Amino acid sequence: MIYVVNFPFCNFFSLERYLRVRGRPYQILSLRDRLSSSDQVLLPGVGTFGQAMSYLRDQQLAPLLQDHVDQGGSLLGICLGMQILFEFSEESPGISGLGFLAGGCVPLPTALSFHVPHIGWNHLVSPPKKSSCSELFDFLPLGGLSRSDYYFVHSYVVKPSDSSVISACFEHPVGPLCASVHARNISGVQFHPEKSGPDGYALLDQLLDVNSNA
Amino acid sequence: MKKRIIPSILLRGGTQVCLSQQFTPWRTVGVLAQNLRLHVKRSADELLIINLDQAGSCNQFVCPERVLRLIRQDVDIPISYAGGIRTAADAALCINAGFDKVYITSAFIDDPTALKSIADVVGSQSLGLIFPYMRKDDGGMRVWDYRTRLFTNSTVQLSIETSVTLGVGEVILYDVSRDGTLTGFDPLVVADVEKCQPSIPILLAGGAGDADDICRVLSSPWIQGITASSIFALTEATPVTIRQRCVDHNIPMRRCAHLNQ
Repeated sequence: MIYVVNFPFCNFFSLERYLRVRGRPYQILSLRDRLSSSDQVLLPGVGTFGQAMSYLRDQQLAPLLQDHVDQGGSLLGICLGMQILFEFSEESPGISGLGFLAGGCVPLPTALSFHVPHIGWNHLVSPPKKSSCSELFDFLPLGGLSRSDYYFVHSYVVKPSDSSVISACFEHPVGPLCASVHARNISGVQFHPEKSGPDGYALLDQLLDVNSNA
Repeated sequence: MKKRIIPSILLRGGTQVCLSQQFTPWRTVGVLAQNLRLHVKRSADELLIINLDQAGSCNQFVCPERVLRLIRQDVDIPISYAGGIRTAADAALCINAGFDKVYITSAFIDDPTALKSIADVVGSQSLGLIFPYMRKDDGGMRVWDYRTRLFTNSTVQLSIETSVTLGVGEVILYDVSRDGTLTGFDPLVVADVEKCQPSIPILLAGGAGDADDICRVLSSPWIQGITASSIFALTEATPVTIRQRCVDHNIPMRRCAHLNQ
């Protein structure tokens, strides 16, 4: 079963459409739910780091998520949902994230050819020092670019302490920045596959299938 | 960064889609369900709904349920809403209901500081401003109030600077005099934006008549996209054909693997 955390200010209806169109049964996650390791939890999210963590604390969902991850259950964070997998964000100083992955979120640097917020479609590139072969992203052999573009909308970017968890990057004048992470049973994407048309839906299919086999 | 082609859908009378000329509703060209499906199928990069029934109204904001139902049914790309949003609660209602961004105009004209509280709640990335503008006799760009149909005291350049400090994430510069004319974008607007060097994305609206008009403005690094409606209703241009023309001019555009299969 897929469980969705229904944050306020989240892209729930976009995700709900994907799950409905693809015929994937789901439930809204609540404190009463007893998750098994074969369940998958989706953390969507739009808004601020502080708002999202405050919701999880108020609903007492953070310990539930921790137990799920500890039991080997898979977790997929989308956009803000990926950022809160980490320990902190400079967007909301003093507020701790879920801390499932080491590192935090920092403001996206502004540049002449890169306006912030990063709003719009962008391609992915394979992370530095990793081969272009990826279970998830079909990087082109020449140049290491993804075959499709995905929709981004964010002002902060994740900076993992362990760069080996980065599974894809987006290009920025300062160098490649983290676009997705994958470590054990936890994965996250900074962009919105549920808003990226048929190519995004196909990627979500893969993300959920890979996670269910993890 | 990839440049964006954003069809705008003007709604009036519920879910009727109309075109405007110089910010006056002109003719009805269809219904929302049909328009949404068409634009999604034609691979638009985003959609913008402008609800004329609520624009400029001081009544209690209501997120139109019929519109929401159709969006949830048919749209798998980003979609924004404009029309009647004045407070953080209005904006939050729209974001929670399924829109990705909201755009504001009259609330900014009446009280620019209202934007700060909206940005604090929904985040800069979900808040945009639409500046309708006209040029005065001296050539200066002035924000134009569509309710009174008069110039305001604000220059567009100053308004962009103010909006950035208040946390707005994106601005659409909408040339009222060219709205619905298909005669091309304001030939001076790109140079004016380049002088401002805004840190946030700037989109242009008003006047797009063919793919070459769009290529001309998108070739500037300071213009991140265009929004238009008449070109998609009255000509054979589609987001796909426009995108191809832009790619031919080495403008970075979204790539869709599913279109190549």
